[in-house]
Amino acid sequence: MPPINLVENSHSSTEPLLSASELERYSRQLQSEGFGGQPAQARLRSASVAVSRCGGVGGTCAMLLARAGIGKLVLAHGGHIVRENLNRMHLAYTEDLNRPYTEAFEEKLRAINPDVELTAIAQNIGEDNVDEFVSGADIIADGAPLFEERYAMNGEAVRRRKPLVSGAMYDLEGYATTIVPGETPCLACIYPVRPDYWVDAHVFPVIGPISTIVGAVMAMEVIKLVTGTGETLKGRLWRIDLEQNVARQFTVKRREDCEVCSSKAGQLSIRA
Amino acid sequence: MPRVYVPTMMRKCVDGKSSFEVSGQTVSEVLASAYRAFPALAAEVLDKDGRIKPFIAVFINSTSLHDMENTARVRDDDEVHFVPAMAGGVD
Repeated sequence: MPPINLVENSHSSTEPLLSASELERYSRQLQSEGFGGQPAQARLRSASVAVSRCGGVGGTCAMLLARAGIGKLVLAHGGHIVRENLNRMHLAYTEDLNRPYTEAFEEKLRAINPDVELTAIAQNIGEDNVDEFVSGADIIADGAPLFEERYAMNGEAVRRRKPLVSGAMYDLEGYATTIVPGETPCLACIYPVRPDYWVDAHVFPVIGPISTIVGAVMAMEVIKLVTGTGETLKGRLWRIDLEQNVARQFTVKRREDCEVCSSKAGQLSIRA
Repeated sequence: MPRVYVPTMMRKCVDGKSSFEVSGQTVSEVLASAYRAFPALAAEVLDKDGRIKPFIAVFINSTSLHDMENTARVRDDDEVHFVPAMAGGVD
């Protein structure tokens, strides 16, 4: 699979691809035959990913991308850490209670990998800031708990033709897909409207392993998009039920009448 | 017989089952059989006009119902999956 085009790739062909420190840090993934070796690692270092939000799903994705050596992470997450977050958020510790999410998350990610450039937006993503959030990144990773946020990112990703990796969960179930505008269905093709019962961020139960596994799959999708490794979930909806240990992949296609990504799209808004 | 897989949020409609078998040899027959067995499932899945709600994706094996005719054949070992839209994430 060919990798995506990155916004910047300033590496000169006369420079060594990786430093001695990078060779050591990433030696285990460099051993993976499908990964693509030092050129793939250098591409990860050149890539930027915008992650919203950064809790159980998005935070797992951000953490694994930092460990993998992604070049830049833009983190969006409004509010302060509360005790009920601690059953699933890998970037939040008990000592972080009442701290702004992004402050604690930046600290943990910097400790995990100080080579990652971090930018934080201490707000959730909406129509007023989605342009800023999406514009500076190569890929969007969507782990938001509200459909309004998800549809805003989907619309902007389609408008800017940027790949978006989407992951979501409920209770012990989760799914993920990779959206490449112009090539795959967008979120609104798969789900044109949000469920009428999904009215706030506290509507869903969650146990840590399901948000972790969905975030991990999202991180792998980003790595695949950047490096060209393996097969992505483009055009496929991957779903897992951890209660029954059932995992399936479903084929999803673009809708000719999609209000966001089809040729008939008149506006970038979704009926909520 | 084809087996219907039920997501967590719909299991209240099917006596808590995660899956159940249905009769029928076509897509429409299999779905009708599921709705007859569990009318609460029909109420959850269908809108007032009897169409599947747009935030619920239905697949026969890996193929979306959007890409199938109602008269398409369903085999005994086929699977029906209801996949409602989710947004969890995290607060």
